[in-house]
Amino acid sequence: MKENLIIGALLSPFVAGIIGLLPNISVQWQKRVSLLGTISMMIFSSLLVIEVDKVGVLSFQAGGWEAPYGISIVADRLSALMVLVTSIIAFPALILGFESVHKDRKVAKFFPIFMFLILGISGSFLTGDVFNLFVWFEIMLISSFVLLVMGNSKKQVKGTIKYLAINVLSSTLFLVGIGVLYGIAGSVNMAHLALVLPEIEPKGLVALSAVFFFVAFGIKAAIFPVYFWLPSSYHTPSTAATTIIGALLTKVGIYTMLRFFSLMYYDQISWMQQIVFVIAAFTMISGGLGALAQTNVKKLFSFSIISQIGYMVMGVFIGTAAAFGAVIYFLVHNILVKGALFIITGIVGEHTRNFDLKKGGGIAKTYPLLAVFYLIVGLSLVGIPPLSGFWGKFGLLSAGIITEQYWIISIALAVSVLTILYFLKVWNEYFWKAPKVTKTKRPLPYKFVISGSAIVLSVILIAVFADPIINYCVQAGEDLFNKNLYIKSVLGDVEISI
Amino acid sequence: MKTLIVNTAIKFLIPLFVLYSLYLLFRGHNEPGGGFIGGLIGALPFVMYAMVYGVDEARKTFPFNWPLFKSLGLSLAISAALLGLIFKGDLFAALWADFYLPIIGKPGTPILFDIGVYFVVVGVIVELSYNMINYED
Repeated sequence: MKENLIIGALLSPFVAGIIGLLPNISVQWQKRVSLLGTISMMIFSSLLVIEVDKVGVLSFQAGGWEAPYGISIVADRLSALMVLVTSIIAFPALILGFESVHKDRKVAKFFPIFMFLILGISGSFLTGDVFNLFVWFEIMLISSFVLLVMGNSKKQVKGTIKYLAINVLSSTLFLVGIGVLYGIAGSVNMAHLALVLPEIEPKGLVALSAVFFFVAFGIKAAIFPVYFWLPSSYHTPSTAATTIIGALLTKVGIYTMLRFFSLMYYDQISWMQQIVFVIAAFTMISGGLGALAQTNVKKLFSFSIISQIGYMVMGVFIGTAAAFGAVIYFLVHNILVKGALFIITGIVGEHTRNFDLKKGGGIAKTYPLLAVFYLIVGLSLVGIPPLSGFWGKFGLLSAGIITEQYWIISIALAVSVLTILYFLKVWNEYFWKAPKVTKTKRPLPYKFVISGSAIVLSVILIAVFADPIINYCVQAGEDLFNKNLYIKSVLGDVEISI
Repeated sequence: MKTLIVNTAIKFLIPLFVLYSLYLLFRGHNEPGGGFIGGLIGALPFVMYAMVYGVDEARKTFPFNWPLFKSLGLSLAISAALLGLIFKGDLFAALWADFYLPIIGKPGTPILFDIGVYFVVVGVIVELSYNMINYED
């Protein structure tokens, strides 16, 4: 019956979304229900993490159909943690939305769609079936299309069209990959595929499907040459939507990459590794340089997302248990920190009605609280010990050095300097320098304060409790590497010949 | 579109479309059909009526609360999933009655799920089309 925790975590946002979609429901009630759904999801997912940490993997089959035929829903350490982090980031983003989402957007059901986005994301983390993953992806993408375009300004429509086009392309590639996979293996169950794929001939087709999945998830994660859609669409919608989309959606791409290439395509890592490293290096560098060139703060952090994606792709393709563990910690750190950056600069931007660095300034004097928040989160991003970014980068780099991947590690280290530069740029321009136009100080709405404190608190907490969290992530990385636990939980006691 | 033939024919076609969509819905468990296709065909007559007579007239003639359909449909679908969880211990497990209804056959939770899908599709398609037809005006 422990499996019901998974169902609870999925049902909370779903039911909140359904209630919010009712016609004639007031915006006040939409807000209350969404908040309730998020909190309930947070409770369920925390319990799920605790439970999964005891037993390793929880799984169930939809409809009770046996594993390779039915749809498996699986929560291992990685999935459970990702769902928990999703609910943690959803909370402050929602509170921010309560205050900042423009009136006409609220009428158009912003909050229920937000709940469906959360549902799609957590579903993607929990499914153990490749085709089911595609369906969750669609739920997630359709909700994000709506959130991006909601408000109907010309700028938003322009950004959303790019986002939509590239995502349709990516979904098509994903679908073709599933087709190839089903054609050669006759199954779409991840655990079953993990068993049968190593023995399948011809090897070329297996490699081909791996490349299809890599490109499809790569587009979603915004890796080099296909990242251009991200900065041109992420800065347009309301801050609450940007926060959740920016913090989570690219990371779903990384999560699926991690899942596929640890569970099913582990053999493919060896030949793809150097090619992917080149892509990862370009992703890091172009993201970092792009961030330096921007003056719109939302655009700047969109490029910053891309830069950090490079680190994670690198980690996935180093391909050791330690590297997987480090990627998981880095994912958690990055979701929270990127979310926090979007929230804090979003608060500043919404409150002063200015997202332009050149016109901004003086925030440190008028709103010292926000400046302190930004400083903590920014130092976390850069990786100053003892904050969380340090542990994430340390894990990734040490995993790389052990496996002697020196050139990519040196680039990763060099790009850290770019991170410091754009962090300081925002600090100097937005918070520190004297403003050109002195604006009168208005008190911050209390919802902004709650939202900012909640996210900064969670950023601090993952640094304070770095030790248990790192242990958990290392264990999760080993589970991914060994994969027997996962396969056994889904398929029962089968002969495992790997 | 103001032609006498379409204007007259649409009134007779509406019940035909709805009946055919219901037929597709109920045969969907074992044969081609089901909630999605049934829903698309079920939405067609209402969309066509609006194309012929205009959206305002269509809303007046069929005073259904279309946006309610999607919430209703989603609730039906999720309750089909939960009934399986409560009575059989598996999410989406199928519960079957042990009697037959005329025409429909043996009722069970899969048809409940399909009816949910039907409602969502009808509600969304009709509402979408009405808004888009209005937008063109």
